[in-house]
Amino acid sequence: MNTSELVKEAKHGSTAAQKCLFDQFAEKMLLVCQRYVKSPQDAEELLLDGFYKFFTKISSFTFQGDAALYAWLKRIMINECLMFLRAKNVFTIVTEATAEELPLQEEALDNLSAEEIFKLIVQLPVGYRTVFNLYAIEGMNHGEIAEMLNISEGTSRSQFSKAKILLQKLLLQNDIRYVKRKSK
Amino acid sequence: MSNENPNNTPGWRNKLDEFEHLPGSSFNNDAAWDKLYGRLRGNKRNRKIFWYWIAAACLFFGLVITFLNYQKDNSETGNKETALKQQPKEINKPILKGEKPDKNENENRVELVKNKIVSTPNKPTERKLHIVQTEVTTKARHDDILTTDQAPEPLAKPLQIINTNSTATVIPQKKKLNVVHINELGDPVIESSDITRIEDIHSFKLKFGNGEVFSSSPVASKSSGLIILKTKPASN
Repeated sequence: MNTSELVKEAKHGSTAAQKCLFDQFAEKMLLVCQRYVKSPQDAEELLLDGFYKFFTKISSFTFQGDAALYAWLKRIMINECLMFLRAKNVFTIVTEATAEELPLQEEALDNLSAEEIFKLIVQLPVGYRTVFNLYAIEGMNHGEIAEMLNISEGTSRSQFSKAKILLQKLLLQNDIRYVKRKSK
Repeated sequence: MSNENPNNTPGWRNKLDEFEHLPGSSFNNDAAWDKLYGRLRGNKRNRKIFWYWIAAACLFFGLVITFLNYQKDNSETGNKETALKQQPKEINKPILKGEKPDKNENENRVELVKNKIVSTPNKPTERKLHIVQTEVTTKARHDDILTTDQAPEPLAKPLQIINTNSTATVIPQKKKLNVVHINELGDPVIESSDITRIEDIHSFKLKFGNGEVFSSSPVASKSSGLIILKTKPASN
């Protein structure tokens, strides 16, 4: 049974189809949640919340391909994570004055494996990590991020800059001298 | 490389998107599904419970409305009854000749009385006894007497206790006496085939020593040949 049929069956309340969809996307979505929320327990809880919303709202979803379904599900998970973080009020500590614009050595990241990149991102503090995830990975602009996180655009920029600095430090700490390699 | 342009997707982003499983993760897919399924089922159950509550509320309101209507009817009945009690003179006013009692009013009163009897079936009251003792000329009068609470007048004769459950609801009717042919002396004459009336002799007048006068109607018996004379006190 393909994804389209699964979605159709799940819309009619088929538990088996819901289970298949859950099995298909659960681990990927858990990784998305863990990129935003460090604690595995919290991430798992948010995953369940996200899937609960997904199955209760699936009747309003029009299937337009696997990618659209994945994007919709990912968006639900991200929203759940942001709601969780907003509730914790993690974005108020950062001030705009410390904002710096530094280039991110993305080539360095390209040479890393997916697991290494994931582990680096997870090491970032929650504020940096959230903005980095939204800007660098989800492709949102600072205006959208500011609106979503209920912060100013400047704060979003500063968070991203700090995230890049910290990420480079982490790369250096991990003894991965990509910058040096590039200069050679 | 531009940091402000997130639309050009570098390789590391694609890598991250394709990353499906974190090694060493303790995530249990089935356990997570059980939790989620419990929530989803709970949601369905909650919906069912919600509809049950709605149904129960409707039933409750229906019962309440029925009960209130019933009470309202009762109170209206009580009001009518008290109104009747407050106007005893009018109720006991004798019906004059030619005066027609209001039929509707009387019917209402009969219903009131019936209701009252139904509500207290085990209490034979004195009021009901008056029905027996009082001469009821019309239906209206009878009902009026039933509904009044006035103390009964002392009666000369001892009251006859009657089972009011059956008698109070029955409206006494005027008894029509059967038309019976009787002879002048009061006893019915059984005219058998062997008795023939003597048409020529209509009556005799007898006078005894004490001066009383009797008349008789002669009847002849065919078998015995006797003439039967029956007597009665003659009217002056």
